Amino acid sequence: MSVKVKLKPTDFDSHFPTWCPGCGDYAVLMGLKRALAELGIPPHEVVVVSGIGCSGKISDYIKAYGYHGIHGRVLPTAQAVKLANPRLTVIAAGGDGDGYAIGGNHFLHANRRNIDITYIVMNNQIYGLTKGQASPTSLPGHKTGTSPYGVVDYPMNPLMVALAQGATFVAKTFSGNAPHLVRVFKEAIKHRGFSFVDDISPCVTWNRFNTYEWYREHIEYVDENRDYNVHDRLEAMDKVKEVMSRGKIPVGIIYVEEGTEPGDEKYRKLAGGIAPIDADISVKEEYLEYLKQFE
Amino acid sequence: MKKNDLTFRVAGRAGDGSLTTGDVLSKIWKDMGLWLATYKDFPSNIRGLPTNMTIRLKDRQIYYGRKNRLDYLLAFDDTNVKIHLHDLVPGGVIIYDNSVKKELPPELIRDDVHYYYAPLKKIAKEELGLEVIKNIVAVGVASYLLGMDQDRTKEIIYKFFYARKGEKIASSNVEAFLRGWNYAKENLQKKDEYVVEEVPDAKKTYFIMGNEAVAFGAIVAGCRFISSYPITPATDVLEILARELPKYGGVMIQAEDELSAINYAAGAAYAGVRAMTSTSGPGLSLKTETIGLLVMNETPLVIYVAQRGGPSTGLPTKPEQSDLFHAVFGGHGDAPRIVIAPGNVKEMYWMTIDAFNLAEKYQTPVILLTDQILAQNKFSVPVEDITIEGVRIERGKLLTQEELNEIIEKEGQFLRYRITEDGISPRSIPGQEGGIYTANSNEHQEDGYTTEDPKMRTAMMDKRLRKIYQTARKSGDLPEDLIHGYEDAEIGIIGYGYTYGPIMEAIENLASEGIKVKFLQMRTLWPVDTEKLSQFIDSAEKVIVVDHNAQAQLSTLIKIVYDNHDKLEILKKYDGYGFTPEIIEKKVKEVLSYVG
Repeated sequence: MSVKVKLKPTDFDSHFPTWCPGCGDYAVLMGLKRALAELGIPPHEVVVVSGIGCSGKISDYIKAYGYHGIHGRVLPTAQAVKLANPRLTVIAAGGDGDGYAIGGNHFLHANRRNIDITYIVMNNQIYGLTKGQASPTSLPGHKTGTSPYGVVDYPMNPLMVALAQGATFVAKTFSGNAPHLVRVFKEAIKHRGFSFVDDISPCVTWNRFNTYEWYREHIEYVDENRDYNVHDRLEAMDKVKEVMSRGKIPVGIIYVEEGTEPGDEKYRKLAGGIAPIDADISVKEEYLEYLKQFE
Repeated sequence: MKKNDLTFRVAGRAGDGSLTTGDVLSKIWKDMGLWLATYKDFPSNIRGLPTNMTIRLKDRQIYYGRKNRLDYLLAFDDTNVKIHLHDLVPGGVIIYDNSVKKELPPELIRDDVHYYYAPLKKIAKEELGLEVIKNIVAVGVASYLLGMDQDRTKEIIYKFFYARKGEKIASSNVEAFLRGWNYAKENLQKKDEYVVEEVPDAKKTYFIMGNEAVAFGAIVAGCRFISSYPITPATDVLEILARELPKYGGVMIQAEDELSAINYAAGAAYAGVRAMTSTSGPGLSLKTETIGLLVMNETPLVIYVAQRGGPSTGLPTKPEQSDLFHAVFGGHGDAPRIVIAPGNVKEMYWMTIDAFNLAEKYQTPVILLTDQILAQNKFSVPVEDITIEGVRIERGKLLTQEELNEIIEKEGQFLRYRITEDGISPRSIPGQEGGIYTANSNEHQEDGYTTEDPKMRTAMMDKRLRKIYQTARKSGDLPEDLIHGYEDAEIGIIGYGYTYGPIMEAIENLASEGIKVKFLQMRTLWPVDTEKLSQFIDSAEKVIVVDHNAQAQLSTLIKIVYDNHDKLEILKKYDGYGFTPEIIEKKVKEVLSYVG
């Protein structure tokens, strides 16, 4: 992707967010604006598809085409926007409830389809907008509105799921480290294929357990002095497992498949290289060929 | 002699190839110039359970593939003789495959029916070395008994298989046909009166399934994206478009579930591509939340729903019209949508095109509501009824970049959800400069930004209601409800969807007995054309509502929009089988008896 226009992050300014002061989602919003500006992608060529929850409001807060859909259905919508019009840069964004609970099935299949979009999950290990219930990534023992005796279930491991399902770009960022996050977002957007970024986005109101401070103590940057091959899926899985076995959270670009063919391109190939948005829909004589089988 | 008017049923077990036998016979009769309609009756099962296909043929227009009474039965075993024996008319015929049980037991013998025994399976296995080819042996027996021309039939069979499977298979099928023919010639003596003959100068027809017509309508309408989850009885549309759309720059996504299917389609529609999703009742249930979303964010989408028996998994392969409430009212919040329902294959084609135009003109989800009978059965349609002439692609207020620039120049800004008199706002698509907005599931202001302002909320709700209930309603764009039959009749009938077929036939049959009936075929189920409906009800003494479900959903819908209820007579059914002309005729006569 070449730089097309000189842009500033403020070119993406829209309505001012209504998130709580200190919310990790601010960093994602800022990081996204900066990444898009630095990549020179003009706002009207960007589509931000968002889900439901605090994070889902992001499409209201960035100047770009937005689609604020229903709970959990971010990925089908976002993938189809790209399939329809490959010239668009498509960002799918949501929270851990949206992506890993109610929309979990789509996460499995988006990894498998490898459509060229970027999926950013603002993971705060809690339900924020419904005021503090356990999420699929809440840690065992965490006391919340729906886990008064502590969370019972084992947490989901999104990185491992993505790696196992064939994701071609897997990364983890932290809203407490904006420069790192911008760098990763840029790589994710540039990657041709499904890019998955699980962002640690602390909830300062409803998650008093997993705080910025707590995360800082637990994070381990795997892309500093990388001691493994980021292009090897099994090594990446081993790395995630190893870091987590020490009670730490791996952060950084974890896996990148090189030279992968994006799913949307495969579908376009079936259609002779034409994208649906460019298809001729005028009424044509050649349609009549279809009717011959019924003669 | 009973010539060229036949109700023929092939019955066996799933896996016996009853449907294939029916398909081959249909093809033969079609090429002989006859008009046909089928009724497939199959279980939700791949092998073992009883399956049958009824084919009706005439030398003129035929509306429907099923009647209460049957002329001809081809049964692959005694179980199927037992199931269908009492459907046969006096003078009717049974061809029975006696390969396994040589004789039928006395309780399966009717003395007013002609029996022909032929060891179809045995001939196939022993003489041809291929058991499945018994279907074509059966075709040979039936063709001989029906007095068909041997050379002509042979030629059609050869062509049929040659086109699909090549020379070798075509020749072996012709061989099987001849074995059947010769067996009948040598061993059976024709006692019945049924004859099928070539129709001279026959009208050219297509023999086409409803789903096949819908898929073609989608292609012609410019649909370039479909996403669905396989479900009976709608799957054909997905399979056909999977094959056809790439030829025209389109994409088919087999979704991971029903929820994603409609959201993929919605994403493509939002991006500016004509898109659809196809499903049946269970899928409609799952898609419902997104239908509300599309009403809210005003994204055009066609949702094809072929109804089957419910609730829940219900009767997955059987017909019913019990999703009407769901199609019209399903979902939370006030979410008006357009629901249209074709009554025959010709309308399935044209109304699919209507659905795409309505969706874009009114920026709304449009439900194209059909049923298993129309979706999965084949009907003869004159070739001039399915053409591309007169097709118009109407994209409503979808803006070009130039139009968008003009708006911005004139008004200083572009508002995607601008509150307009007709309720329809100008629409941009991603990629257009100056057209940025958020398609928002939250209540929103004119630029798409979330709001809870009471005035704006009210204005937005009113706008969404206005475009459907006033603008679309009064536009003349919605498929018109049709009145058939005799305008001065005292008895009226109201129905929609497949019941058009049995009702039209009942009208013809009753007319031959001197009974006049008129029929309001509803084609737009929401918003209802209340004027036409009320005038129709007012003009009759009694109105029979043909309602294929247990809760009389169509009757209830009518009662919601028009309060003159005293004239309504409900004719319900929910046993998994379609209405027949006879059932409707009987009801008309019953109502007539107390009208006077």
